[in-house]
Amino acid sequence: MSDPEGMLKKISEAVAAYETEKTEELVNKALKGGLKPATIIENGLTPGIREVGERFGRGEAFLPELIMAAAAMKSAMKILEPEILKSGTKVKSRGRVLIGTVAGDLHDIGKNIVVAMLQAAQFEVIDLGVDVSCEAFIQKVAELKPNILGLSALLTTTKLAQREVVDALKKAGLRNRVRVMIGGAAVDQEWAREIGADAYAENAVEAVQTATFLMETKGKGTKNNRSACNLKS
Amino acid sequence: MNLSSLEPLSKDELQEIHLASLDVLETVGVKIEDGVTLRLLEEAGANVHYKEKAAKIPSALVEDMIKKTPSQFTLFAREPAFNLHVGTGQPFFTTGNAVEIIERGKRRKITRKDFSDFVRLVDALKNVHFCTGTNMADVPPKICDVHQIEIMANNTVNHMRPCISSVGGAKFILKMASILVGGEDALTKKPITHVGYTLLTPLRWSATSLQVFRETAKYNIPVNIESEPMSGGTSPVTLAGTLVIANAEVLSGIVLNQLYREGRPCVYSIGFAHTMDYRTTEPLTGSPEVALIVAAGAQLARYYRLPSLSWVCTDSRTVDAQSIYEKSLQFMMHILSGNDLIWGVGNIDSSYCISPEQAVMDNEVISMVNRMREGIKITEDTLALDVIRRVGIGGTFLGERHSLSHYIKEHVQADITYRHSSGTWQKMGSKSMEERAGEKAKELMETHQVVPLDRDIQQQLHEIVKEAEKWALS
Repeated sequence: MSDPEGMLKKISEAVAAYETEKTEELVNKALKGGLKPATIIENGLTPGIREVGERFGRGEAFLPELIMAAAAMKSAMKILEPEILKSGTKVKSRGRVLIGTVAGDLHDIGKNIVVAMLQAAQFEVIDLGVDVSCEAFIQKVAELKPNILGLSALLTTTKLAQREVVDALKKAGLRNRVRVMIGGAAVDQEWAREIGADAYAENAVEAVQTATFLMETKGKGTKNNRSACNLKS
Repeated sequence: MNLSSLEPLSKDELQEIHLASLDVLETVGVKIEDGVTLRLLEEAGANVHYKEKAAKIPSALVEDMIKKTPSQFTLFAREPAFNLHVGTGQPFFTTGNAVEIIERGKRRKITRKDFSDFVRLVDALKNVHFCTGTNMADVPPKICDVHQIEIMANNTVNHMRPCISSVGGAKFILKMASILVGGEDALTKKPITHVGYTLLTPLRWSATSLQVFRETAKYNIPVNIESEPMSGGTSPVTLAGTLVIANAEVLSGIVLNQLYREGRPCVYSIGFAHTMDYRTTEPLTGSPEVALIVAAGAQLARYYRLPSLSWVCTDSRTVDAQSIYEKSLQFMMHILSGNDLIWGVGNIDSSYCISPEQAVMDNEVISMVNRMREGIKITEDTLALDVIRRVGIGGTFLGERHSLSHYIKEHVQADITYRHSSGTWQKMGSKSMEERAGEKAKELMETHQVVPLDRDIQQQLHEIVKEAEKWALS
């Protein structure tokens, strides 16, 4: 490829402009031109979505822009993932997050925003959807070995399922292998502490900060016992 | 003329929304997470997909079921003088569900004691007609609803509206309600409680909501059909598109409930609508767009000859100028557009919190808006031509009997609104409205006496709560 830098910039711009088809087209071109999938992700897609994420964080972009940019990135990833598997290379990510809304709860909009924000912040996110059973969480944690497990619950009745998942992780001997983060309208820091989760995030922006913190402490710290970490900080 | 029909939509526009909603029900359908309900819908002529748990509902069925739903009904109270005749044009007010309480600047989780005090406060406020249940941190979440009704029965003579969270809880609550009115047969005639559920927008009914609807249908308990769209998130970003989805959702609930029990009183509600803030991702409760959706909702309800319901709130996180301005504007629109039941007295923080002082201020705002709603009465007597002739040029109306007798009829009296002079205000401690409201709330919670519940009934209710506690642990 004659101008790989220019190509990567174009990909980045296409993601930032949430143009799904154009992103796919450019990614295919870049692959044909010999660019490595990891390079396309790290220097093309990621800077694009990061830019939207930062603009959103500053209050300069609206939520649909972020969601659509995440969708553009997701469709490009579908093209790149088989290539990555073939080549056996690794892609830099800030961590793998497994996320879902707990059993009995069908609310997903808040969780979807968190997913988009985490993706924008270079986390690898696996979204299990809504009404996810305790068993499904445990099985996926064992199988996919995420760094962080995110549990969403909107209702005061379904938040009990968050506790069930934490307890089941302990029973399965998996609790020390994954950091648990909770969120949703019905829960708070106190509930996180009560059920033995590592952290609570009040909103999507905070979820990214919290996930970053959990990755930096490499499983040693929990946001609950870090007294200096104020909710709003 | 009475000002209770502020209408954001024309007749043709109402019709357009109606037809679009029918189209949604017929072509997109509704998810129904309950096998019994799916079978009922199929028998009634809906196109049911059992695997997807979805039903497409034909327009004729919807229109037929709307006609079967009563336009008026009565919510019974512990004391008959406080029965509420819903659908007559008079709005009734209640509180709202929350998680935390803010009292004079201090925020904490709501406890049984807090809720008991709050129910007693509402019992004392003359413009608030009943209490709605809330979360409480010191009771098991699974049976919070059962505790709610026990607290209400002991602390108010008003109608009682717990927030039922399971069919198990509903069974205990129906038993308790039966005891309060003198038996199961009496409960069917005297609903001292009612239920309500919100869809999972867009277009989904959860299993729990449908099971609770079915269980309570056995006693013909009135039901609120609540659509809670979040414009821009779970419904189109346009207000018109949100109305189409919300209206379709409520109509679907009306169909289901008429199939469970023909003639069951249903309250039409798209009054829990939110609009999503695309900058912060927060669902807003106090935006002007919410007020417009709610006003259109009341109008749609009237179009179907059904009682309507709404919820007034604010996105201010505390009691302050924002909570007061947002709620005042909302109350104005919700009341003047003709909603029959209005929730949210005391709610702040997007319904995450309740506040006794906000409740006292809301009570005041309601009395002011109610006065606006009554409008201006034009009669020979009120035109006062005789009095004008008698007083003549340059005279005073102060000494006229006409002034005194009509002052009482036409001019609403303030309770905590400050109307004395500046000098007096300073002498009385220069207190803000919030401070005066806080003092009033405290005083009412400490001193208001509620007609006590019969000891025997108290005991029977408590036995059921104990039974529920055992069930919760099982």
